[in-house]
Amino acid sequence: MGIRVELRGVSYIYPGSKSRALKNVSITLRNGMCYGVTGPNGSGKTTLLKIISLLYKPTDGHVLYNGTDPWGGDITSYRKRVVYVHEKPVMVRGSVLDNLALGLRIRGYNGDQIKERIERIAVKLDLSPLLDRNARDLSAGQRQLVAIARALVLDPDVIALDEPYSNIDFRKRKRLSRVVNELRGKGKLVVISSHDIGLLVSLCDYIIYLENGEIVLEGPAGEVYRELLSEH
Amino acid sequence: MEPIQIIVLRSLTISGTATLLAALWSIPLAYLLASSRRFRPLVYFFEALVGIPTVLVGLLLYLLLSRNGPLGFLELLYTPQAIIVGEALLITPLITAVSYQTILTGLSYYRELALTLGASDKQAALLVFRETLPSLISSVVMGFSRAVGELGVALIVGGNIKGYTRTMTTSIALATAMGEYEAAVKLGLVLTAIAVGVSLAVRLVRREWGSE
Repeated sequence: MGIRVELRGVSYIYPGSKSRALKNVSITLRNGMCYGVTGPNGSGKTTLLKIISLLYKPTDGHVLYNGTDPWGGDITSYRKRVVYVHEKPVMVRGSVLDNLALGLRIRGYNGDQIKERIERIAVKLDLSPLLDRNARDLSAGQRQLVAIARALVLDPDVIALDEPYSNIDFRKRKRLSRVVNELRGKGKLVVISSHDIGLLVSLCDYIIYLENGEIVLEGPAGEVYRELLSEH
Repeated sequence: MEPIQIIVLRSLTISGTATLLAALWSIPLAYLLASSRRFRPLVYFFEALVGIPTVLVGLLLYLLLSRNGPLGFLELLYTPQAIIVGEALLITPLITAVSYQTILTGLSYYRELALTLGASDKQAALLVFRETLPSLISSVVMGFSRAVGELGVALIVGGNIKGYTRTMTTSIALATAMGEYEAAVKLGLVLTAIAVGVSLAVRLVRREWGSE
């Protein structure tokens, strides 16, 4: 069964802050689709992605996964269906291989399963030559790719990528775009945040434009793009 | 004068034990402070106590452990155990405050990473601990350096008893008072060598473990 993520009247206030980073956001995200989230700096893109990824609990409103509020039950089991990739990913101590295996080990996979999954994703994202390298010696772009691979190796239903293209060169971008299309084809729900609206239009079906924590524009990618062009 | 190596060994044993004891409660305490906003105000308290004068800790402990004090029945005054307890209390704020910063940063990086990879709260805490271990060791070593170099506690609750509670710092104080400057300088050099050696060892550990 595919996944449907609904946000109903979601607001979020960071601990210690008085202003709302997200204000009354309502939207439904369906599987097999790619959603692009864009907007100026500080508009709430990352907060929205973290709410969708179940890392932040809404201050007000509800997040529903197939109609159920994960925060009302076993949040860990829901978190196993969704992965968030940070804009500046953190690498744990050890090799790239250790980093790719981290989530699989957490989820209790055995050695053979881990090896097989890593080999597959490493080929797909051209990471095989890096597997034995110290993960903390990698460039920013390489780290970003490893973080994306570390997420994809878990085969989640929902993938939230925060500025995934910010440090990646042109060739790797093409490869990553192919992977995103493949995920969508497999019925996954992909959410990508980026400042690059052109990139989002080329990748995503639907675009959400945020300003000051509110959705000010949303719709099919082409329509939103045209509207934004006409406005500016 | 006792042989230097005996005094050095006694000092290392007392301060080492005090450091392990302090780490045992300071690191979990730091985790508690870092992971719950409710306890954050306590951090300022520990930070303020980092520079507490060692003689003050010695005096307070003396009042507690003296024959008429509330803990006098333990008969710990003028024993190595009294110095261990005093030094452990002395370095608790230091280890807690430094570990707190390390764990706070670790939580913001590694906890979120662990959770998004499907970890339970316990697994996330373990990952934070594993990844911050080199820095936590550094904070413990800082505590050890303060413990081994302090004088107030060792002198007041240890009593500088030859062959029993005499440490490097109390020996230096005694040798200086008696005009035995050569012995005092020798011990001072050993103390410095220990501090530098420990610091280098920590640097090596952090480099090998690849702290981020």
